[in-house]
Amino acid sequence: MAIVPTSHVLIVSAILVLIGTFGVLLRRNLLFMLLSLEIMLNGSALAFIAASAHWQQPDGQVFVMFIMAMAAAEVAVGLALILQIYRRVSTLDADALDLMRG
Amino acid sequence: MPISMIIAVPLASAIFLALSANHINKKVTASVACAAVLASWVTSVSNSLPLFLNAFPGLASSEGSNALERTSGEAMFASEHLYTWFAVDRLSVELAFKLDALAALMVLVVTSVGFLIHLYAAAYMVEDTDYARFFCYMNLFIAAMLTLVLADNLVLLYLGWEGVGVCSYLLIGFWYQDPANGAAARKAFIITRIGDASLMIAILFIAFELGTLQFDEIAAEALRSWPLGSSAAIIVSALLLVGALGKSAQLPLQTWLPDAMAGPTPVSALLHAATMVTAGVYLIARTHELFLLAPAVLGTVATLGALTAFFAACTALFENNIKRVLAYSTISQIGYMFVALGVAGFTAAMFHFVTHAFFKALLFLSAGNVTHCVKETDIRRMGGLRRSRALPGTAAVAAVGTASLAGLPLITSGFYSKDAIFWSTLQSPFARPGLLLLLLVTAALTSLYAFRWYFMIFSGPGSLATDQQINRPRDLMLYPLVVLAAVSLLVGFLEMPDTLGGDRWIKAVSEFLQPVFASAEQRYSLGTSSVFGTDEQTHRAELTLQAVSAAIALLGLIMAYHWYVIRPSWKERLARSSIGRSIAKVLRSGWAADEMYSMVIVTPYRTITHWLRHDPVDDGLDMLAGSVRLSHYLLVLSQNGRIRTYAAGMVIGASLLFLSWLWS
Repeated sequence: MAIVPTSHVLIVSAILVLIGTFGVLLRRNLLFMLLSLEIMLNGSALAFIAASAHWQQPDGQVFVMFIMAMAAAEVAVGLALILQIYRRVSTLDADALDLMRG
Repeated sequence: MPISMIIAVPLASAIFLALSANHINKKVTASVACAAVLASWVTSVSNSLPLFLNAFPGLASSEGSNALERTSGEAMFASEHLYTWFAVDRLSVELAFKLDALAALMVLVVTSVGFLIHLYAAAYMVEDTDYARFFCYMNLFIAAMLTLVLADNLVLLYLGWEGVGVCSYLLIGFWYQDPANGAAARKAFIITRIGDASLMIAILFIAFELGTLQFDEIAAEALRSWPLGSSAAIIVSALLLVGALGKSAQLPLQTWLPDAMAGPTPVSALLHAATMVTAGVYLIARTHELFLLAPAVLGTVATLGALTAFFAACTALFENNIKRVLAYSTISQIGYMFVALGVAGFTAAMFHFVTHAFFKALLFLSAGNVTHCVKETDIRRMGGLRRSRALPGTAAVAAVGTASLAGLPLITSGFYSKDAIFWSTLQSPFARPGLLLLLLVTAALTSLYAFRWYFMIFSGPGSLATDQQINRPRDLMLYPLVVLAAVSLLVGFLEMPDTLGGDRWIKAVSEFLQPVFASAEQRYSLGTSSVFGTDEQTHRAELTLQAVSAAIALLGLIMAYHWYVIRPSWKERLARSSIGRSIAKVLRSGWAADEMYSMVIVTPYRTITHWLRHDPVDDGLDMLAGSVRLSHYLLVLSQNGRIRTYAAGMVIGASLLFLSWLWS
């Protein structure tokens, strides 16, 4: 089994983060925006794993644990918020939700 | 009784009437108002008594001058100090009153004429619903005028000065339901404000330069620190003069007085005879020491007075409103007083003030009777009212008033006072050439317009005379006129000219006023050194002058009789010629003074205000506000409430940070 070079892993993680970023920016549905956030988190988690493997240090893996826990909490709160929003305004269009406009 | 009671009683009555607010009945209202002025008169008589006894020791058997203070000169006065109004640095303004001979003369005239006018008004205004308001203003007017006259310093005088202005505004606009009356009231107030502002500046100037505002101290300080003809004296007296011009309706601030006829007739009588318009004369007489230090200004006083007298007399000749004729004649007669002041004939000015107060009040109240009875103000539509059964008494007293105004020789007071002015003009070192000539021409015009007024109302044919609907004047509207007529005839004998035995018999006014003006007259050797050499030449000159002035008055009477009674047809001929019409039009409009002011001041002012309606300064400030508002809108655009825009902002910012970190 060939060893995957660290740089390749980092490129994949960068692509994941970019996919997530563009998903957040371009998607209008709040649910997809939440999904895109998850992709970004996973991209950064992958970068931590790669770094951890590269320097043979466990810190990165510990960090990934934290990221996963945080992602789970974030999804729980985020989904609850999205449900409430949908109940109140019957839409998940992020652009329609501009009550805070100046 | 203290001097302040003279002012306090009418003031208290005014406050009482203001608070009563028409809830007490008219008899009580009128009684309170008249009693207040009567009490004021009694108080002033009792306070002036020592001054009389001092001036005429023959009247007093015992020594009656113990209540008087004797100062360094011969000046005698009674004074009362209430409290210090305010004191700043070395300047201290007292609430103090001073009753010297000049003030006493004014106070006696104001209260006596004022009382008679109040009596008349009690009957004249009885149908008016705002009876109490009227008498409240009238009492306040009297109180303000008395404050002006009795004040011991310029600030207190200014208080009375402005009080008189406010009361005149209130009374001219008394029938405020008609907008024209309100406009006349505002005009009077605004035009006199020009003079008031000038007087204010004069007061401040005196306070700065001399450090005192008390009259005697002003005179003493001015004599000490200002040389004759110095610029400070000229500035101060010129400012005081402008103040006096505004209040006394002299050129060029005369236009408010004819319009002030919008008020009820007793108001016109009070305004013209006793209060308000004579305030300017009093101011100059009171500060005569300052004016004597500035001979140039004194000459201007005389010139302006003579021109005013002439112009106003011309206008009175063509005016057709019964009261406006009298208004112009007041302007003209005050012009005479200014001439007398301007040639340093202060006694003559005050003497003419006294006689004028009585006969002008008489004329106004007669005019009030006429308009009350025939409900008409245009004298062209009157005529023959002498024959009307309703008005014989009024016709008789009006004849006395007219003769006094015209100065018919020997019997009327107007002759003596006017003669005193002519004589002081002739012998004064301050008189300018031509002044006396202008005065004599004006005297002829005065006699002419006075008798024109009388003949057009009371003589000749007239449809109104036979009208059975004419109301009779109430009795109370006639009694004060009889008193005024009697005084108008008799008051002249108080001051007989030397040629008629005045030096041997009686010169009451000049002897009474002697303590006030003596020091100035001695200093400038007025009235002592004659320009005619010997006594006999002086005597002959004075006699000639009297003969001329008597002839002029009679000439006016004859001309008026000829033109307005025997051959009134010339008026149609005048009306047919275009030149005659235009001259009459210009004269009737008061030498087009109103139009001129409208053109020179009002119209440009309105144009400028039109331009400045959108304030250019505001434009600059608005631009600042506009730029703030614009940036507000721009920044609001960034706060569009869309979460994706915010996220994009964060991403772009983070990317920029990342790139800058890469390149650094």
